[in-house]
Amino acid sequence: MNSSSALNTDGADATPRAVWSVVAPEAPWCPPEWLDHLLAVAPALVGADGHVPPADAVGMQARHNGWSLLSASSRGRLHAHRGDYREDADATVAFVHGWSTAVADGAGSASWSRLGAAIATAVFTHAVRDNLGHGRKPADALEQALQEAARTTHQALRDFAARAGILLRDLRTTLLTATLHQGRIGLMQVGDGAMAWFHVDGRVTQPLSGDSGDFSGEVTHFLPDDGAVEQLARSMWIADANTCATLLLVTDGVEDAWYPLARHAPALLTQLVAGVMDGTVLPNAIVSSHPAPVLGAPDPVQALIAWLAFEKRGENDDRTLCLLTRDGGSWAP
Amino acid sequence: MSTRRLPVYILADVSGSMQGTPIESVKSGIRQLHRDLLGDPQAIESAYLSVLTFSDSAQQIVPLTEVAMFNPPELVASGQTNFGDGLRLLLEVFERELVRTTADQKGDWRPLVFILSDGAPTDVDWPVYAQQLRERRPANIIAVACGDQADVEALKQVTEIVIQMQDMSPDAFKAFFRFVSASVKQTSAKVGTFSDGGGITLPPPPPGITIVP
Repeated sequence: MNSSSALNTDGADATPRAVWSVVAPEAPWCPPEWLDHLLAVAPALVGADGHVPPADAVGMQARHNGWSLLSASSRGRLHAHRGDYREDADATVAFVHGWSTAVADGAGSASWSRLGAAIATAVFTHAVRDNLGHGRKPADALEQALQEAARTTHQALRDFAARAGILLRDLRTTLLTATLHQGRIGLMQVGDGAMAWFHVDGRVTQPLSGDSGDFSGEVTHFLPDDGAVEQLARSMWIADANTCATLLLVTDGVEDAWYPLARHAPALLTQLVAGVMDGTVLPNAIVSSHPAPVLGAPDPVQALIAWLAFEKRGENDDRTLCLLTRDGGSWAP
Repeated sequence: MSTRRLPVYILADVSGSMQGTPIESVKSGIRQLHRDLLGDPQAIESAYLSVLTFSDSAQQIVPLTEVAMFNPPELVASGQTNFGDGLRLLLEVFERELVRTTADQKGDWRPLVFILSDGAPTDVDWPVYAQQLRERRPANIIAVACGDQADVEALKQVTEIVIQMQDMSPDAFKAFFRFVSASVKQTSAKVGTFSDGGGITLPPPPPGITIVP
């Protein structure tokens, strides 16, 4: 399978078969008349020039408080083919004694989920910074800061829907977050997607359970629906950061291909660190799009964006991955 | 199996009343649906088609088959309208063919089922199977009342989504199968919500087809 995965006319009839294409969206990412609303609820999303330039793929790399952070979010092949925007989002904010990162996947059936995902990640991370980052807060301030950030995020989405005159369900999004504060890491999740915690003792666990049903893609809680913020609050999980060598957050575009992530995360991390050797068989018939190592590449962000273009039949969703590695923390199976 | 499928089942009434233009239009519609889906790369990768029929009894004419390998079947209309056997067979193939999510594998997307009927059931067991389908909700089911002799109330007992084809002309069937194709493409793009216990968002029905309230 390659980027034009479909066949031509060698089947049972002479019907031509489609190939993937890349189409630029025509409509604005955010309607101009809503920019003031966006500025009101999530100012971090609006640039100094008043615009919110969307991109097919974005990424960042940074070092904060003894951790290396690398993330990227890429428009999936299906959205590219149909001229739709990426509906995944990610955001990372650093502050004096920690950082907060978030990834989100806007629901495919929600008209404005790209805005929902972007608002959720931006508001959550900035709310955590505002709750923890101004002045030295005690270590146990993390719990309260996360709960407040969850409520702030939920309310920001609801405020935006009210201002724009759209339904809450139009903004539906998942949210997965990780926050470091004074040597402790707090995780929260609502909706699908997954996190993998690589312990210093070699184990890999999935601290939080994603939301899934009998069939694929069935999510019961999305922000800002009723009950979602309570689900987010209940999911809070906090642990000593020193037990963690590496933490991985992914939206379902990555998770579904690498499912179950807790089992396949070691192969995923190995691929990011060491690349794919000739003859290496990846899980679930995944075909690598970037066999070279991502970490240590001249431009790790671009390398990760290239890596996110891996191929697996039927898996063409947006993909977002955030990798957090503690300095001095080593993981080996 | 590592590919997640979008199973699409067509359960067609092939009783005697479908003889002539209606059954030819259904066959033509399935061929058109197949051609349409071959034009959508996501459908090629994920949609799987199956055709089931019911008359005196029900049978699965084409098992769940990926779009690229699907061959539109020959259909012959004759006999009674054993609607119950059609619903029973639907439940049976769900058990046999669908993959559900477990700790080890992602399941299929929730199936799309289109049930076409132009008359009233001639069997007595159909309400039992209709109730099982409604209670288990194993699929997003769209029932299609073909023409004005179809038993809309019976279809309503299977699913809340019933659409009415106002006549059984070739154009009406053509429009219907275009609607099926758009539903499959939209579902393969927009799967991801099952909140509110709801299923899919259907595309707007074409002229000549209405959603029964």
